[in-house]
Amino acid sequence: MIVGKAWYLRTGALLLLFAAGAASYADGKRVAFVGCPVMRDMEMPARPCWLAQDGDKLYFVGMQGDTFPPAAFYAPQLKHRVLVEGEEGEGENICGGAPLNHVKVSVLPELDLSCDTVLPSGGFAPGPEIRPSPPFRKGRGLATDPSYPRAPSYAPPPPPQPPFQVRTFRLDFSFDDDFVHLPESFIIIGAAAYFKDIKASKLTLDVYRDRVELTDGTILQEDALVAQRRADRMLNLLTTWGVPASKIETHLNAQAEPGGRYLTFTVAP
Amino acid sequence: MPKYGPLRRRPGGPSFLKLYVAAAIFSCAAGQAGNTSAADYTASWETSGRLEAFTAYDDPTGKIGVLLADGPVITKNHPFFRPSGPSGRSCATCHVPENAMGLSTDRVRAGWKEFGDKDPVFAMIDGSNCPNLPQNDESSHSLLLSRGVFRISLPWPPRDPHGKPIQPEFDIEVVRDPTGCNTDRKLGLKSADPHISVYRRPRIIANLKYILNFPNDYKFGFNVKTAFAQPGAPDGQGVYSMNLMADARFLALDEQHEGAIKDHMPGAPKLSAEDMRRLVSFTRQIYAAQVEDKTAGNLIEAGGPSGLGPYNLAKADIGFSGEAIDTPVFQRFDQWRAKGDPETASDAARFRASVARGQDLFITKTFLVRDVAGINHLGVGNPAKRACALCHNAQMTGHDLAPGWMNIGTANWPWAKNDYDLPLFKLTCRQDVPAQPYLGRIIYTNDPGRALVSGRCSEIGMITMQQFRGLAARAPYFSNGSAKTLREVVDFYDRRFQIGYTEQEKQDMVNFLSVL
Repeated sequence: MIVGKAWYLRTGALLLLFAAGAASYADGKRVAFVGCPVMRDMEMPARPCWLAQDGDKLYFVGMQGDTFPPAAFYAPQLKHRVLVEGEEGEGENICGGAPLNHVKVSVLPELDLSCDTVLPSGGFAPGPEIRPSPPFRKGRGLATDPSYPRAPSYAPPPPPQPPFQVRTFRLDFSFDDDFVHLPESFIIIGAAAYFKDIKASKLTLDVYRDRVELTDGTILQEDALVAQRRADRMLNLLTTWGVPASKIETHLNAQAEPGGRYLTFTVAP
Repeated sequence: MPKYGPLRRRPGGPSFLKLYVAAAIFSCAAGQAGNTSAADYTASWETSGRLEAFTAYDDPTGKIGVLLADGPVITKNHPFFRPSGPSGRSCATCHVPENAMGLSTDRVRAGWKEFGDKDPVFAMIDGSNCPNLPQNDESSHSLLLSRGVFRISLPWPPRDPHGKPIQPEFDIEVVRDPTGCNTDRKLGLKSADPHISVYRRPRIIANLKYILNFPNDYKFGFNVKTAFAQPGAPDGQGVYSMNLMADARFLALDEQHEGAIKDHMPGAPKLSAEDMRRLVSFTRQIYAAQVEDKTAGNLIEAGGPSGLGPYNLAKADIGFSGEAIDTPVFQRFDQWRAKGDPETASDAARFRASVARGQDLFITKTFLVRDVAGINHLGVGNPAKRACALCHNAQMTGHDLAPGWMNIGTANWPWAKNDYDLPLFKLTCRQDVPAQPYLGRIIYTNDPGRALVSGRCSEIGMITMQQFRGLAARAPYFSNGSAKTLREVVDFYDRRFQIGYTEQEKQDMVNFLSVL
């Protein structure tokens, strides 16, 4: 629960990767499909693998996280289908699934009770991350022993120095989802902090919604209400963190557009 | 009406033997605390009019210890102990030192046997199944007598902190109403002032520094369970933990105290500012934990496990996660591990070894945690292969450091028992809102939990988990009192998550929980 600096660095790196977006996609064949996730239950202390099924083919999409809240990979959920996007990778199968590069997994909101498969380890080797599952990792401090190492506390970055610039912060989402996990909340906090530090005149919220073409040609569009829910959530968080509602201008982009699974905060001095 | 509520007979009274044993315990504990004297010990606050700095009370498996870190209090005219209003209740009616500052059904039943409905605990407002029932009839109090639950009447639709109605994301229907309160013309859902009655256990008013404080990393106020803002304290010093109450409808201690007086002590005058200050400062410094076990012996002896007993609770730091093998939730039990031949070991040594194994299971026995709203949808995956300590992670208390709202199914289909004595509601969520992640949009429940306060479909059935301290002194368990014993708690989890405990493991878990 108590997270350290390394966790923040890892999270920051991940967010930068998200921000880089499609530009980092390179050679592999693009894969986009909706299917059931499948858990492969590895022998402890290895963490379980997550796979996703596209017809007869299984893809490896990631390992169960080792922190709570997770920092790097938001694992699929049985009882829900997932939208998987990535590029086919090279090399051996992992946990019985074909490797994917630049994989993004979105848990679709509606229930699908047919997605309910947990496979045994089946002799497959653990996935690429070899850190042990949380119960078997080293703890960060013992409440009754002051001599035990303590986790470093979160330190906010130093306030910006003038001249102040217009700054834009980008927040990505899972498909059809307005939920924000802890690592992404730091982006919103960053925007609110910048607004307050520079005594900004305005914060503009531009909210988009996505349109995805699957490998089989099917078009998926995010629910029209999702953009509104994303905006409502941002208003709740920003105003609680000190940005007056009167200084927030919200633009909802009604049209679903490819790559539109995000919003931006633009803070003007 | 007795001035301080009924005085309860103690079986045998505080005998010299008991005093001797307790004094022996106390002398060890005082060794840990180092700043109290033997004169602080007594066995009865009700007869002496004084609650000592440290007291040990008999409970079914040993003794529960209650420590007042700021020293003894005179109970006469103290706002915690002073009856107020026509019901004759005080805070101590439902938060009893002998029950780890909670309330056991043993005590409730003894009260009925001795005083009937004249015992203030049975006040008609919430100590009966419904105020419209004949109050002198035992069956009218069956839920309190059998489950230890009080009626909680909440407005519908819910109101925000300013009293403005919230537009709920779901409709609610009463499917079954065994108490009659939810369909009552004056008290129910269709009344002129619509209310919903649910039935919940009182929580313990002890060890609150752990419950009220929020981990440093979340101090900016982000609720990881809902992804909405965590309310900030009015003084700007951090945010509320939201872990104080089952549904987090009150966030600060003074709010909870004021709400409890208004809801559970009808007609009681509002507390003066000075009394509120005394009440808050009193409740903040109470520590309660088991101090003796009939088989294991003294739990707080010098050199014993550092996670046991109220003195260690008073001393330890807050905000540490215990989901790790070397920094476990209830600290380390190395000195209790089995040594030598178990056949020749004493009963105490064997019991202690069992407790140590129970702690190990709590931390390292992994299983598939699945379909729990409030944990599995937060990125860990559904299922997540983790141990008890994934959710029960706070060192020293075993609650969730994040706001501990979860729906593990103790009160709803398909996992709850068929609790025919409790009301059953059918909740139907609107199509344009996010569904409950694993139950969808039509949910049958005995208690919608947090959703009765927030109005959100995704929070249906979420109940803030409780701390694990003083369990032996305050059965039954779960917010609806559905587990009569610790064994039933373990059996529920074993069935719910298909853990596959062996019989020995179940006993180890029960023994472990019983000494906390």
